[in-house]
Amino acid sequence: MNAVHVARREIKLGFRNPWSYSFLVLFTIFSLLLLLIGAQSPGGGYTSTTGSMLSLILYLLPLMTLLIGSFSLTAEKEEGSWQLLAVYPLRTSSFVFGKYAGLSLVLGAIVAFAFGASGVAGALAGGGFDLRTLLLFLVFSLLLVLLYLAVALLIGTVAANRWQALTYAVAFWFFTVIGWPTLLIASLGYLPYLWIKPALTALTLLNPAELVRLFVVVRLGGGSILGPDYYRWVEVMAGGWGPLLFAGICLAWIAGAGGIAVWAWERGRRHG
Amino acid sequence: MIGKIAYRLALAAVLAVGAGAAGPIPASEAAQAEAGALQKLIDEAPHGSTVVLPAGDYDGELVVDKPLVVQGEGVTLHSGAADKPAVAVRADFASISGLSIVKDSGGEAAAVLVEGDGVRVEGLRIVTRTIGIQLQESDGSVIRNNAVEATPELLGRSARASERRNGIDLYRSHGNTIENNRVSSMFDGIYLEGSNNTAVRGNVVDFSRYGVHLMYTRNTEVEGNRGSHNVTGIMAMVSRGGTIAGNAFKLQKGSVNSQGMLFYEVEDMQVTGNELVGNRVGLYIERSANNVWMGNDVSYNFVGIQLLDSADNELAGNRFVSNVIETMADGSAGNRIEGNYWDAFQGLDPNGDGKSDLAYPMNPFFQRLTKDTPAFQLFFQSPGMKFLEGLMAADSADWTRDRAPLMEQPALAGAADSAAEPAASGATATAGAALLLAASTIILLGVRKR
Repeated sequence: MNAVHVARREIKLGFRNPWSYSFLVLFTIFSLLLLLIGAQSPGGGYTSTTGSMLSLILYLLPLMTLLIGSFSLTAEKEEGSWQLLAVYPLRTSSFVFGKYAGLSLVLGAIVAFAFGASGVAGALAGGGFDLRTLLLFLVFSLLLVLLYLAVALLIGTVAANRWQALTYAVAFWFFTVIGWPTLLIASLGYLPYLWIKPALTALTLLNPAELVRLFVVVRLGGGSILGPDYYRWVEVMAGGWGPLLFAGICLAWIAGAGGIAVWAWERGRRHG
Repeated sequence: MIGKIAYRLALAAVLAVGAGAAGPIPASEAAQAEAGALQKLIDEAPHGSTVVLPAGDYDGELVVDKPLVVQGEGVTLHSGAADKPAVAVRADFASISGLSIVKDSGGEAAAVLVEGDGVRVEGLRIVTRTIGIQLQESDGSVIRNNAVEATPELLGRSARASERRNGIDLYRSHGNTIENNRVSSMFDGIYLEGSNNTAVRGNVVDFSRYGVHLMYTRNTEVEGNRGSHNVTGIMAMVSRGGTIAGNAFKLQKGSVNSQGMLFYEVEDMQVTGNELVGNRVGLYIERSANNVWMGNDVSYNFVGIQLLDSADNELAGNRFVSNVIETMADGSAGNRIEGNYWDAFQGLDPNGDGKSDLAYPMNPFFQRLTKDTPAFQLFFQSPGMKFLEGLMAADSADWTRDRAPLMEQPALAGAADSAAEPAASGATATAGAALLLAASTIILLGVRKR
């Protein structure tokens, strides 16, 4: 047994899970709504339309990912299938990596289905997204899925059951998406003025929602609105090496969160 | 060579005596083999006559110091002298037209220096590393149909500001007309300092720092100018009176300081019917009073209007559409703001007069936050920021507000309906279908029993 088996099993489990279908329907309806918003004031680049679409995706998708991802792991514990798997010669890292890959495909399929549907619907009705915007939102969504899924694995590892996972997932979602500016403005206010910007930059690297949002805003050409303080970051990210560098940051992020999950899971396996 | 030195000595002597009043330079002393021939023609022409310069390439500098009509179609003048303008117009009522001038010397001397009154400068093409056309204490002159651009290595890209000079530069010059000129890749396209009653019409400025820059001016009329990719379209500072009408400035969002129009300590100005589309900030207004902004189209900017510490202005009938953030306003409760259209605002109009009975309050929270700590600009349009702004909405008495926002968009001349090209629906449909297919395949593979 190896990671591929786990991933295939995960896909199978994923699409037998009614949760996946309710999220599929939810996200498809949601992206069709985005289509309607987009049709009201078309325009490329960083405008209020693209800005609000990014916000709407940020509200829904991370929460969805956290729930599906963390529940998938806690289910293994609660339903006893992990106890069974643990007697096979399966490395913990293969198990966690297989879970991650499988869940990425499940969530990726949901996101692709939703944007595919709105792409076709928009084109049929006339006045839908242009291709570039559609692809940009797809990439934005997939990045959010990949980063939040790594966190979801961590939550699923730490939480003993679904209810704990739900609590942790909602808390993480709330603090990274909704409460983030409040949290930082309140706490960074106590730092000396000159420390605020470096602290803010470092903390932003820890928040997958802000990280992905800022990257997309910069790629949309909106970097100048972040002001002179971030001029260098914006220049780098908007340049040719930007996507590569960003991919590196994302990989480090996923490897970090996934690594901790593997370590914690392994520890649980040893100590039973 | 000796002639050249003699010319320089003569010029130095003349300048020492007093520049504007220089007498004609004797033809024998004027040097520069080829430009000297042109200078000779100018020197020998009687007052008030027309001099047609023979076409060709020339090296050197020209001085027009009596009222002549100098026509130079087909003439290209190269000037490499850092301390002398390529063409100096010292006489009142002289005119010069048609020349091409290449001034790649650097230094402080302009390509064309105008010191006389009532001078006409028309149809010149200037490629320069110094100021293009400079008016020093020249009144009632007309600068029309000229093209000024930077040397090729600086064209169309953002270079260090220190490498650039102004396109058309007025210093203490009054009652002039700057019309239908084109300026590209310079410092300020058209710069007015301490100059009153100027008309700036129909010019096009791009890839420069500021399109039109007013410093300490009065009663300037800025009409029908266009520009894109500058840092700022129209920069009005410490100026009074005049109108800014029917100008269009777009896509000025590359720089962290860019905006469509900026007003700082401006009074009694009428700003109407301008188009500000796709800029970082559409209208930036600070410490200004008694101005009118009416019927402007402010669309697709990151911030629609930034209104700071200003009072007694009128803001009416403007259209704010699809700006990422519509307003950042603070300290500006004392303005007459009424009847603008804000697309993010849902009004309520029970009596059907087309204006909302609900006022549109402008939350100053983000403005105050980022003014105190610019680093927090990182939260621009963060979903959590809107949440926090909602929480901080309790004390709204001193907010800037539009008392009666419009329910429908006003019809504005030349309003940008859409910044987008028509979507290519074929490609989107194909991509959408491909995504659907891929997703369905994964789902089917997943649920398939094996």
